Amino acid sequence: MSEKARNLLSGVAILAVSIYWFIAAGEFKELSRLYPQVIAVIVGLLALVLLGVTLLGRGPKIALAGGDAGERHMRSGTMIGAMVLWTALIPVAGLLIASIVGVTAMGLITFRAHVGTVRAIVIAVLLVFVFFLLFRFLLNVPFPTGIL
Amino acid sequence: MGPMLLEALTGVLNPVSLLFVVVGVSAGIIVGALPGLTATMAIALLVPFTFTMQPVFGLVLLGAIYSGAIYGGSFSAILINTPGTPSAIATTFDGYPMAQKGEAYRAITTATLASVIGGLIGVAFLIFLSPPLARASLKFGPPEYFWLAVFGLTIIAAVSPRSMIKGLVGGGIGLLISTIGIAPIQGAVRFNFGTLALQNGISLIPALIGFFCIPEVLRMAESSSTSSDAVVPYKRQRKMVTRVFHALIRKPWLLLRSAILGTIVGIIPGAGGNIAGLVGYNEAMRASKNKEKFGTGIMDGVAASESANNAEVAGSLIPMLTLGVPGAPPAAVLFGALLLQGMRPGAELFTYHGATIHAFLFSVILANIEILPLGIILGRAVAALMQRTKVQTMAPLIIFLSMIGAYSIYNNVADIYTMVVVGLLAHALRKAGFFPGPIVLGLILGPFAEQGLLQSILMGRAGGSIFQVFFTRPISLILIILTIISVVTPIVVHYRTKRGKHSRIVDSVTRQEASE
Amino acid sequence: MTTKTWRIAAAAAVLLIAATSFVCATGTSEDGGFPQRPISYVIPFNPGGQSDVTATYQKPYLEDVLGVNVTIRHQPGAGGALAWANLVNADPDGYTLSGNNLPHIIIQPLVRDDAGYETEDLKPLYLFQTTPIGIAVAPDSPFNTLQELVDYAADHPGELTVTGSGTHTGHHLAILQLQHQTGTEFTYIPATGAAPSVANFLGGHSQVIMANSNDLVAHQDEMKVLAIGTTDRFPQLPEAPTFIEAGVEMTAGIDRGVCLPPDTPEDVVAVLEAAFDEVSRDPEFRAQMDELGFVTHSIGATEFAEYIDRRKTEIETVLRELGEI
Repeated sequence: MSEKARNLLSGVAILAVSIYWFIAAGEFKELSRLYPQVIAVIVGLLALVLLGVTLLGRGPKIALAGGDAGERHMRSGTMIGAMVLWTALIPVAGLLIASIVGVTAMGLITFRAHVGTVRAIVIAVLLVFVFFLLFRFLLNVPFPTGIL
Repeated sequence: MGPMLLEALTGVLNPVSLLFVVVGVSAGIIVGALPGLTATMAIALLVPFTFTMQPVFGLVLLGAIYSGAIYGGSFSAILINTPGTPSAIATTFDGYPMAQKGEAYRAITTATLASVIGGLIGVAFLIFLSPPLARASLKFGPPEYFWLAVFGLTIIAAVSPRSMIKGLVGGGIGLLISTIGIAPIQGAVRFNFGTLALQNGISLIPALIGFFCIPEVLRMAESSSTSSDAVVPYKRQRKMVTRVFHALIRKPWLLLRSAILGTIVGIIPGAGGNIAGLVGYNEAMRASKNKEKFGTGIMDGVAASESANNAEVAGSLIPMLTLGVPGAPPAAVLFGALLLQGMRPGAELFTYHGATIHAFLFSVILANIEILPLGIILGRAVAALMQRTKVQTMAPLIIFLSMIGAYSIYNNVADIYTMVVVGLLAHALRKAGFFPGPIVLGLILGPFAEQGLLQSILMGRAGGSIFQVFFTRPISLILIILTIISVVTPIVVHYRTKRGKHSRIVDSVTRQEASE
Repeated sequence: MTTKTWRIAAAAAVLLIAATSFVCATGTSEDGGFPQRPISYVIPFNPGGQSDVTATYQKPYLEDVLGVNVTIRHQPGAGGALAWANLVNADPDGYTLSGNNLPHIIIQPLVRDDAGYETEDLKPLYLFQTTPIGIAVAPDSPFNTLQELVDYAADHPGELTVTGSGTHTGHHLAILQLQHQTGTEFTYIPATGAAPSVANFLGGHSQVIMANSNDLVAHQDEMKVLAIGTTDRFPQLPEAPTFIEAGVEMTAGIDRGVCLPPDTPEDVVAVLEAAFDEVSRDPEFRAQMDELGFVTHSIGATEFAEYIDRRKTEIETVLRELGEI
């Protein structure tokens, strides 16, 4: 996505958020809504300024990463997917199992290049277990368990 | 006085106390370096253990942990752009760029020396000037807090060299997010979208990790490819410590000013290490002749932040010991520890328990000194590690540790979700050119600003004039003037640099001045 | 690392997994009575506060009586609501209990649409402490009695600034009750905690303070206590009249106790109740609490529940008449 498009998109999104915030604050009592509304107005105005300068062609520059966009997105996409999966698993399978899955998944992405797939998995699982034991038995902090 | 001091000296110069100093600082550094665990948590975890010890040993241990943890936060700030404790937020601004340039060892050494010197300056204030300083701190009322928060927010302009407008918007976003939760006055539950988890707002620590660490991890996942994943060239320089020391000595005001500011911020009840580091950083930048270099990875930035935040440790103890009003959250926990030992802050503490307290103060001196050897050793170890692996590959483990660290102290699964959601949001914002620094500033200072504002309005209404409350109090006026100066300076700088060079911040690998 | 090292590491991993699964699966034997494993004592506030200090004092006694470890955990947030909301969803097996504070647990569900819990959901276990709340002015203030203060307030509504800790807390309730009983209007300026409110007052930013008894005692040289919220005179502040003596029918204080998740079985409740009872009656424990400025009680589960009901009716009336709900 081009620089200009990103500036415009973010400007619009932030403007929308500030409008929402302002309206949502309206239902509070006076002193509870004063501050959020003032801030929302300021942010909204700033967002308009951002949109303004972008449209005028003098928008802020963004240092865009080089390289193949598709490959980059796939890599970060997988990381994001791993994190989301991890978080989603916590209420279902408990933190321990979710972490094993999550750390393994992320580990495969980051340090597989260094030590190879199998070792990456072993390291990940081992690390999670060590810390689980540490926390569970030494510090007496149980990990949340899930529905399972 | 004489016999009490003698007793204090024996209280600190004995094997057990000395051992506790070493153990405390080491443990503190480890805890501080791990994102997700903070100084407050470390102290809170250990207070029950100190309950059964002799008071002096317990306090020595806790004080050492406090000092060590605040210093330790700089490690992860420098290496993975994630402040290990909130005090190290400002350290990320220059510390991480330095690491990216291959100067991680130098950054860590700078942080070490700056922390030691700053901490010692703070303790000097604590030992010699506690009572008058504590009294002065009471003069900070709601209007002063408000203006202080506004002053703090002007730092946003300083830490967004790339795009002022985006920095301001980012700060605004942070301010908006900080309104989620229970309103300080009248207690309305705001913006929680009906969920229980957000009833208390966004927890700071998970948000910090989300803002700083996760986008970095994702950015690296994007840019790494199997073969050309070159480890950033690590430059091993001999006698790094002496070199850094000489560099710092040539700018004595840098450390001194930061330490004084840090102490002052610490004294102000409620303002803690995070603000201290930011204020120190901001003022160092404004006073520097090389303003544009701040943010690209110069040691001045790291030194300012670390000197200020370690000075804050002693500063926060000043009102706590004399008045029972903690200057920062870790001091509040220490206060609890004092109560458990049957010691009550105030005059009684310095007379009846004088020997114990003075032993404690001396131990804080030792703890700060102890940071030096430990920091150097750890710095070398970390540097050696960096030759083999890119620290970032440890990121999944670090994220995991942060998760369970944050969970284990407050037992709130929602914190984990907060971390991830904030992280993804921060990633998207990063892509659009919004950096975490200003947003986090808004997040932290927002509540201060709102409380100060609303409390002052109430005061003004009761007294008949709101204008009077905000604009006629002496300390407020000083802060207002500082704010104006602070706003104007970066704008002037911004346009001065724009005239000469192109404004896109270059990958600063090219800026390798020998003397820096 | 060599292949051999990796094999060892892999074997260690397998062993660890096996061991952990075994431990998790077997759990604890059920033929002993309650309790069998460590108990979590959740404090809904930050470490270093009064609830925390009291719990830390109680811990060794509790461990002695119950024979298991008691782990103190902090879960601050939303004025305590976070911890109580979590407690409501915890397993009612007696291994998780939480400190509870009045009037917080009464006021919060009344004023918030969804506090995450209802007052009745928290099963009262034991009430062991009250921190009385008192009202004070500066030593050089023109007011020497509560009556003088109230008279001035009646003539100058909203002019006097009162600071205290938080909104919808004991301090807030105290000033609301005072206003209700005397028909006066003050301007309440909440601070974020007890220590900040004390700092605010000592710095002269507010004219009156509602403070906890221990703060009143600690700073007695800089505070003129006009009234204290106990029923009889408070031993540590013998010259301060009670509110009742000064002509206002009210008591003010923060009551602290412990509570359990709803539906906790009665036999478990009985064991815990007995434990806290033993702690509260221990003379050494009481002495420590007195020194800190607390008033110790020994009120068991049933009486505690009745007390909560009574207070709830009182508080609801006050809040309704003042328009807070």
